[in-house]
Amino acid sequence: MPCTIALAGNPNCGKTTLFNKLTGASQRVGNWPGVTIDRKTGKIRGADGAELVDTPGIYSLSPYSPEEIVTRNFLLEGNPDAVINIVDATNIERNLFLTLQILDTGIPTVVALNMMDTVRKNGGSVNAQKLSEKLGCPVIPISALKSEGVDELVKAAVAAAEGGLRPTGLPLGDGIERLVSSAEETISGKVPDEKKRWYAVKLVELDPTVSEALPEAAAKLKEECAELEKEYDDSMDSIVSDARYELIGTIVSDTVTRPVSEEHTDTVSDRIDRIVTHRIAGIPIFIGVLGAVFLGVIGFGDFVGIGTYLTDWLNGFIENPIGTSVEEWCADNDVSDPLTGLIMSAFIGGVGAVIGFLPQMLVLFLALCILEDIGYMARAAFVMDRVFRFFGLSGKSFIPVLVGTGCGVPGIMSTRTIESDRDRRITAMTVTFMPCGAKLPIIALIAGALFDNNGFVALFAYALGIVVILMSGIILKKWKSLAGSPAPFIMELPPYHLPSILNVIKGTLDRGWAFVKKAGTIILLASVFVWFLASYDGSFNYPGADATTDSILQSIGEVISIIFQPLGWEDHWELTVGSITGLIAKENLVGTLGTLFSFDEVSEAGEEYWAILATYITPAAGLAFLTFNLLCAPCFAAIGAMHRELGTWKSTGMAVAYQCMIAYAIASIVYVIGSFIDGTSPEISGIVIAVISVVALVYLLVSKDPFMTKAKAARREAVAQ
Amino acid sequence: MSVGSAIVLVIVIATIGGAIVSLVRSHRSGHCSCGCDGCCKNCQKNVEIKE
Repeated sequence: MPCTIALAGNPNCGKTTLFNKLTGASQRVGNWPGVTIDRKTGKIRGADGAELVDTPGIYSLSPYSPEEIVTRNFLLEGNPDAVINIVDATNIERNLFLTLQILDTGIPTVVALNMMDTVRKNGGSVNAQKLSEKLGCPVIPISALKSEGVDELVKAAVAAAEGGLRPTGLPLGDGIERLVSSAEETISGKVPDEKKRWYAVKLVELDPTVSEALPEAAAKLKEECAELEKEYDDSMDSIVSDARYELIGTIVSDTVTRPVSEEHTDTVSDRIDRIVTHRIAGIPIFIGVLGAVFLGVIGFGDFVGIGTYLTDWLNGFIENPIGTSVEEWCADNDVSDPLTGLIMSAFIGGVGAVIGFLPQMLVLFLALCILEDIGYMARAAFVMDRVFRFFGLSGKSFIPVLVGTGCGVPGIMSTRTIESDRDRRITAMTVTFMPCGAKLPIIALIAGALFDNNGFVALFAYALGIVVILMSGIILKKWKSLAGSPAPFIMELPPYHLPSILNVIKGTLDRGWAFVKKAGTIILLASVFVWFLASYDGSFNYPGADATTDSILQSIGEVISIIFQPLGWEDHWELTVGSITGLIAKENLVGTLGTLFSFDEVSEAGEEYWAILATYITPAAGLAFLTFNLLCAPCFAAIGAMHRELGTWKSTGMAVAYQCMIAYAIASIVYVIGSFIDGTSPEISGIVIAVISVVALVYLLVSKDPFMTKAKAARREAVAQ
Repeated sequence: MSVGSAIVLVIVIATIGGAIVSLVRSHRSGHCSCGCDGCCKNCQKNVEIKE
């Protein structure tokens, strides 16, 4: 019988791993809480059409962040036939808190005790039979990672869905149960019978959402609750939470045997954390880890990183034999000039220039995936919380920033894990300052063309991203709609484990494949479009492969390039056009320059593309070019994602304008400072704009926060009264 | 038009056509908003996975 089974549990307890095992799907699994931010549906293999819905992790059914609301709403309004409540057996007390709430909902429930292999390895055990009797629902010990107990779980879940045996919830003590019974009587007929207990308990907890939905019952119960609050000298939600934990304590003491060593010695994770999350050493370690990754992948001085070595090889291969062979074949077969130009410039020059960077990206993705899978990136968020908080942002903002290093779109969407609306909006507006995978070719281009493949260019790009995000935290909170203090940051640190080879390879190849597919679709089409605009003049005449003069693109580019002359781009309209086509997809910038430069230098080797760029601009201007393109408006897809999170086009437009303005201001400062260090003379207009930018930025950073000042004054007034 | 030109023209049309079809299919299936069909598959609502 086709049925719908929901998968619910705490963050990072293995829901997505189990979902992938049961459905054969390949959703992303990560070693940090909050990887899943929306629900996903799949068919359970071999279960006669049974559908499984993966939901974002939650700690309780009183949600705080938007992605937690997704789970609560699905459980209560999606009418699943059964729930598989996945419980991390290594952390059973905290996980059972959600279990008790799920049992209150009356949905047929099966508890999957995950990570039982780890419990056994540590010398502990859980009596599943006894736990099942205590909870009043089936309990199946499993290991999602090793596929142990998974078949039995599916059978139990399907049986629960078909049998419809509804749990009745566990009693929470006489005082609370009296109130629950009273609430149940009041709401009888107003809510579905099977969910009556859940609504009643929520009313007793004085849950604002449920109280708002059932105002009469809430008003009636308020007086009765006040008596209990007085008796316990605590709020109702705390009284109910304490009762739940007391009940959990009784259940656990009867069913769980703990490993002897657990209470006496630190785990390996604890010992490592003492160093990597140290309040002083934590940040230098984080910078050192990232620096080592970039130096290993890109290189420094005479040392050529693995990624650079492979990219050099692939670039050479694309140029010769592929490029030269195609060109010779076209010449031998009398292929017309425009078609030869199209193949050489758009296909090989444009798409080839982007594909050439694939090895470098794959090696970098591999390194980042390993760091993510072993659990270090969750520590990085913890370490960065102190820094972020100092600048008015929550440490939770670091997770979207981290996701954004792969692609800005999921980075922006993962801001849903942030509870505070203000923090979420600021993070969504700033997450794309961090270099995403698509910006890596631009970094590699500038590092290769102007800085002798120096790995510090990549470190500069990432450090710049973090610095601008932090600066934006200060600047943006001075806007009325974004004012306020950052929300507290609470995040569970997952235990370290050896990286799963399959997970790391899959994560790397997923990102690599995304890059290749983008190169073969959107970048190919953009390269063809750019080639057309660069090859034809206003009367649609084709003046020849070597002529970009008087082309449509040049006419447009020359007008806009005036804006960028103060950044040292001189009158090189190609750079302006590259930056504009980067809005389609950031890698497109590299492809566009490849298309444009190959008009002049069709037969040159790949490195000479870099040589052309080196003759165009100074290293300082190159760094300004990189800065502008890293920080300015992201690609259209990311702008669309930003719109979804910010809600209105007005907010999105203002966010994009802010990004472009700050990109221009910082690029001008980088250009002028870089020129002085390099011993070259910057443009006078550049100096003027840089000075104005410095003054404006300093004012925005140090001026008093008007809303914070008002809030402080209001607090003082309240204290005085 | 030479035979060489005709061959190149067919390749160009097929490649560009393939790219457009791929983009349109990605857009229609709702799997991806940026065209790559992979980078953001973890953020889609109700991704349907066929057996």
